[in-house]
Amino acid sequence: MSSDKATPALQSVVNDLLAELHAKAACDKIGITRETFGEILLEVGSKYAASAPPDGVRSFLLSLRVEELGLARACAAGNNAAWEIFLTRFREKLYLSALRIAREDSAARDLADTLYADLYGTNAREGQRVSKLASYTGRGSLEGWLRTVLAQEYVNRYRRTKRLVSLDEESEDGVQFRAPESEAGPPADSRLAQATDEVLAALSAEDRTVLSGYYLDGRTLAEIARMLGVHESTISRKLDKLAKSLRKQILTALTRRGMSRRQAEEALEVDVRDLQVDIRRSLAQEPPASAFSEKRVEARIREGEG
Amino acid sequence: MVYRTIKEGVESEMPKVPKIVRERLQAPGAAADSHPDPDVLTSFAEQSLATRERAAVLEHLSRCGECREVLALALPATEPVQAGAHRATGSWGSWPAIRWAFASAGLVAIALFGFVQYGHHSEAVRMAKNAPPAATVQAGKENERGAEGRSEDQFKAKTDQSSQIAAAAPGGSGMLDMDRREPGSAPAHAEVAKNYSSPAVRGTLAHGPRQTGQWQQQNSNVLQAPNAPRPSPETKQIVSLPDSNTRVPAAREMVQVQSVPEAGPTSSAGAVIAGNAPQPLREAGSDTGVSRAKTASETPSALSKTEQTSMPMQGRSYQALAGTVPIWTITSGRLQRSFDRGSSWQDVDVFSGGGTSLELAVASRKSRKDSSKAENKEAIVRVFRTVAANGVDVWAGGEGAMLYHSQDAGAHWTQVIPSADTVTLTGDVVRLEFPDAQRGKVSTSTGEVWTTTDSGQTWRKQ
Repeated sequence: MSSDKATPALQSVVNDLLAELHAKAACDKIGITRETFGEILLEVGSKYAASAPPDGVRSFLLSLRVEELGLARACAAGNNAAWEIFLTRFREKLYLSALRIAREDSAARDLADTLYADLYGTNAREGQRVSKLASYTGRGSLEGWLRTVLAQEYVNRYRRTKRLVSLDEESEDGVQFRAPESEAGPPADSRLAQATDEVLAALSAEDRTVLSGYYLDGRTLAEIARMLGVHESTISRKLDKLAKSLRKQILTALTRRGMSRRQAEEALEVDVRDLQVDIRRSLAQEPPASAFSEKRVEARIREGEG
Repeated sequence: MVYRTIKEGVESEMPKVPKIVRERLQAPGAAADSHPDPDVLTSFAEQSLATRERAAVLEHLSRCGECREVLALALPATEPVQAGAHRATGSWGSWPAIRWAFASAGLVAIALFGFVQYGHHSEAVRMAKNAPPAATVQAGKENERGAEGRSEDQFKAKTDQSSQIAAAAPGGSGMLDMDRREPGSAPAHAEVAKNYSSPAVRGTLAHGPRQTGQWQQQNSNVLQAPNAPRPSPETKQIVSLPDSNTRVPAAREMVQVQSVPEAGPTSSAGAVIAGNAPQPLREAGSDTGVSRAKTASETPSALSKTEQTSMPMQGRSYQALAGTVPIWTITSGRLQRSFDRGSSWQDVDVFSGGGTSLELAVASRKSRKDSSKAENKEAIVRVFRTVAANGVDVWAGGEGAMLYHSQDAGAHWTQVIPSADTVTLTGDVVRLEFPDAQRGKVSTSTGEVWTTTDSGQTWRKQ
């Protein structure tokens, strides 16, 4: 636990709220005493306080789903009663979520089983199980967290599989005969890219997310709306407006970079043709970031082995 | 994104953007910073992040396709309305299916209309010359026969009916128990006999209520027949087909019947059914040799009584639409029912007040469009987990202490919030046990058990 990192201010807030939150969590029966719960709150609060204004800690702690937090931590500690409750509440949901994500029964079962193993903590460190549930902090619903963890596992798995497949199929795809990549990037393209970057950078993060979700990911308006918690019509209007204005803004940015209007339009058109190949390649490109939380699990295992 | 190629159809829906925009959106270094924790992503999806944190997550999402993918994959499963565009559910309850169903129903209705009219005319002529063979039984017997549940194709029955009547000798030896009928009510039973082959249908339809939703009522009577009050002894009922069999309409026929044009109101109980026929055949009715219910069953009091008993509420008629009590299931958090023993399932919209997609299609396609954002969100996040049915009495429960009750096989729903002594049910409803319509037990994910002995009027926490 990271309670030793807790500031006095946090300690004070936790002490104030501990009785109330512990009663609300009703986790005595599943082995989470008030003291244990206090440590959990300190740990969660410390993590939050590290990147948030200190005056928000109290409301943050009050907003936690303490009942689910207690349950998750009790499960992580191996409490059988907690596991019974957990399985009653989430077993079916977990499988249904896995099925929705994997879209195929056996893959869904495999995915759900993998997560169960992580949740139960089949990996041991210093003789103790390391349960993924110990990383749940009660910020969102436990069910939502489980879905997110499932989705991350699916994405990680896909990346691993894809990496293997791509090695196998590389020669079949004729990679060795591919033309040198230096052909891309005439000077005009760099100006185009700069202009586009400038225009995109001026957009809000939400606008860029909507654009990426729709034009890169192929999400539907409804899906994007649900992801962002807004109405579908809002996304529709936003996309319509963005798509109409982007071209104009890029053309304007290109003319600022010394192109005539006609040259700018030609640059956009030429680029459309040139990019058709590149787009596919870049869509299939591996992002540099490491996998999701599996890196933490692996680190823990390594620590355990070390 | 990584897992989905760009769909060809996407661009056709919205204005195109230059492809350089796509490329730059995919710019390298997009996910340089670490991914948000699952907690944070979950809170983002659940709209519970503070503004500052939300902005940070949005910034990351705008550059990280994987996190967008995770976020999309982790959306709750209930998306019958909004995310349907991506899913080919193939269920009978999906909107395209419903649209086609109604289109088909319209065609069938037109065909039926023509057929009935033709039958009217030709039968009237034949009836004037011929009398059917022995055909009269008491209504009670009809009901008993109806309960035997033999099946027969409706059109075949009609054909048999016509042919047999045509073959009968004129004045046929008193086989037709014909009463002198009043002008207003005369056509009723002729129409009944023409349109419905089931003795049970005919037997009860003569006493049927007079409402506008006749497509429901007719079928309702089929189901209600065994339980409906027996006609008074002096009441005589029609039987025009000695060999007619009980027929329980299938679910799809609901649509057909529903689309039959309605005629103006008539004055007798039997005329409710006649109202389905475009042109009540007054003279033919007296010439068909079809006996009919008369006297007591046609008095207003008897009629109203019958209405109250066999048709206590409009919703109950839904049970009878398919001639059977539906079976229920939960699929991906959606409440579904089947009128055909599981061959096809339709989503049941509990939150808009009741009804299936079928009813909704009739009632409120427009209202769905106009539904508020809040309602949409509610529909999205609500997930059913369990359902219990006892005949037409249905209970459905799910997440967030959600509990709904329908007394009419799902046509209308009422939200129930079990509470006692200022304590209210909490957690997800995970189990429902209702051995009968009165007594029931509700178990929640939080370990609470609530019981009722009065159909949910009062509750006790155990």
